[in-house]
Amino acid sequence: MTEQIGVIVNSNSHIDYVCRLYGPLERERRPPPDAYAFGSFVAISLPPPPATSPDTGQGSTADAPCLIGVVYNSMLVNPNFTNLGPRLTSNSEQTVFSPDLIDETAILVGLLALGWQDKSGPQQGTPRPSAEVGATVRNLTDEEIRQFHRDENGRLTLRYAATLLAHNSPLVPALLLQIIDRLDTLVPQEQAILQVMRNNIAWKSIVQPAG
Amino acid sequence: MPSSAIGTVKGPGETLHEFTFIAPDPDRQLKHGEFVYYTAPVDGSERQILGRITARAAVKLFPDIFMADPSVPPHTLAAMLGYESDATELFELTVTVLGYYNEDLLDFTNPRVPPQGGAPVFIAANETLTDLLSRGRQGELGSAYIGDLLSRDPGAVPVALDVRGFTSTHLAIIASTGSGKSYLAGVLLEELMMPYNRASVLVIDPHGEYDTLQQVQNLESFREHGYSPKVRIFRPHDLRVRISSLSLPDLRYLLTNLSEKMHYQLGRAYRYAQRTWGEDRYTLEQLYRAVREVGDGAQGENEAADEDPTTGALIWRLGAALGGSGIFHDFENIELDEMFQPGMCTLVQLNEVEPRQQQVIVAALLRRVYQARIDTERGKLQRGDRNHVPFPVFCLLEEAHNFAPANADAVSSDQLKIILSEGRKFGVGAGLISQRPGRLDSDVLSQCMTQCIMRITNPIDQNRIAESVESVGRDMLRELPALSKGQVIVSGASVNTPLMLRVRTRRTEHGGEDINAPAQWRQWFENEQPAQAADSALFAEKELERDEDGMLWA
Repeated sequence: MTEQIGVIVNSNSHIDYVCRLYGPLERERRPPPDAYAFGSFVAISLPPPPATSPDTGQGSTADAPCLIGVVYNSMLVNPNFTNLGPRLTSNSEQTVFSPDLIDETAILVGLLALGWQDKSGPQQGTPRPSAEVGATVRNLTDEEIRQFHRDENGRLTLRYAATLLAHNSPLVPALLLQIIDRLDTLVPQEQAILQVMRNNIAWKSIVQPAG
Repeated sequence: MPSSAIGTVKGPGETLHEFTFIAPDPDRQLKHGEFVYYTAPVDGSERQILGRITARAAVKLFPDIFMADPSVPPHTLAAMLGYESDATELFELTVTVLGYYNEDLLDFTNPRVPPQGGAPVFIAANETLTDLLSRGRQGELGSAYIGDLLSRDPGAVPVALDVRGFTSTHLAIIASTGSGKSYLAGVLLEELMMPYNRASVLVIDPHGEYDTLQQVQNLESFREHGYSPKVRIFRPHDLRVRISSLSLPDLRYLLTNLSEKMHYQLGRAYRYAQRTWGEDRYTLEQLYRAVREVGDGAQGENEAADEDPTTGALIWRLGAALGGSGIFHDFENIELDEMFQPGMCTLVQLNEVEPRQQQVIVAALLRRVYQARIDTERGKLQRGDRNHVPFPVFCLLEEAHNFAPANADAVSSDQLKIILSEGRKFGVGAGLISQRPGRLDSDVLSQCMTQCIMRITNPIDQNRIAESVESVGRDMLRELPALSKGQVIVSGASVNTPLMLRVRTRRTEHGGEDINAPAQWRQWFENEQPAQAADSALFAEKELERDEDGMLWA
């Protein structure tokens, strides 16, 4: 179980969420940059099923229902960005005179939900449930990533590739390459099939546009 | 009858008698040339409208890029991406409609009822095809079972040619070397010798490769109720053509480089001989005499007449062409009743015979048998008369391009054309076998109404076939270079529709095998070389002898 890195604050579609990373007032320390790096796999907590008692605390266990997504974008929010003056205090004095102002800068990351996890285990595809505002987000462990990429027969699966490729973002090819490279190290026995896929995407996104 | 459909009609094809259908075809049943049907109402009842697949195009395939790594099958990549189904391919097939079989016309009738879009398409059952495709029935009177439908399992759909069709309207077997044309001819001859056919066949065999056909005389399967086929072989040294049976064109053809005057004198001499001693009753000596008689020089039998240069040259040429030949003879002739008899296959082997002589022999034979059949049919000849041939005959000519060449005059060409155009009235059928249809006279080829075409790769030959053979569609001709040994396209009068067949196995051995050169070379080192070495040693030991003049004698 990894540490939580932020909460869902908005969504653009059923699978496209915006997560605000925890700031200094919510956690003792900000999540490390690796935790929300481009292509990182995350779990977005889901409300527990109605039959389950709210007191069981399932949200904290590894097999609790969640959406599984990937970081595909990041944005910095800075209210001071266009606020160029006039200024009464210097930056160093700001923490003394208006301490709340610091909290309003934030890092937002875009998450694409690529699957979900329920009591039958992780599955790829467009999830039926959706996350709520305030749902917590945490990183997946290497083992969880491996699990997520195995089908019921134990074979490597990448069913979300079509969804990703259909997503209208120039970052998607790079994201897929990033994911494949990660899987390459996590499941080295499947290197051959991953290489075919990687070469295919690389050709279409790198060679063909330049040609 | 398979109850499940194998495809769904998409819509009409490019031409009026075509339609297309879509099929996944996971079992690879829908081969090029396969027969399928749809049902349509004809005259108040549902009929099976048969058609043949003439084109096949993929409409859904794995992307090329999925095949980048041969060790990663594309379906595993598709499975990884979430496509687990086995249905990875989809084909669009074009079908040429043959129609339903009309029992009254004994042919296919196109009802001109196109299939509805979305209608099911079925694969035709083996039994249906066996009934509908071939005119003959295996093992019945007038049938020649030559092989099975190529698109089905061996033996599933036997195809029997209608012997009546090809013996009256002629046959052509066209194939490049090594694709099995002699083998197919052997199969055909076997069938003709079967108890249910008992044909009278003459085979002109320029390479002497049909010897093995003699085995039909000993095989039990060829016998029935006292019938047993005969095979008679005339080897080159057995052949006799009576000089007086040669026609004037034959003589002119045999005597090369004749001047105008010689032509004229030969014509006069020929007519003189016929007038004086009767048709078919003179010898070479008498022909010489006729030449002298009609010549410009001193008249008489003596040598003085030869002083006339034309007479001398003509006599010299006649002597060179006919005198020294063991085939052309003053008195002996092979009688037609020796060659033609129902239930008998006569092989005339012409190996070692000079090509022009081969043509003259063939022309003379064909002319005699054709004339005999005309005279017999018209009642001029009665039982017991010489040349009385009271039954139809079939003549099979190997290397037919030598007897009817495309761009050259051959004396046999004209005779062959007469038989091809008129022979059916008098029961003289011809079968032509050639490996170079491009060199075969196109008139000759186009008059053979049953065609057996095997692998042809030469484009000139393919074009000649396309020009001369109307019954085979372009789609089938495209298959020609791709046919394997022993596969044949049969079309024309002896089958109901063009068919691709797998030639059946011969009951007798095949005689047209190539020489195994490497094996024979090796054999030479094992057997011949030691013997030769011994002979050479003896020669070296022998002292050379010179006579008194110092001449060295062999």
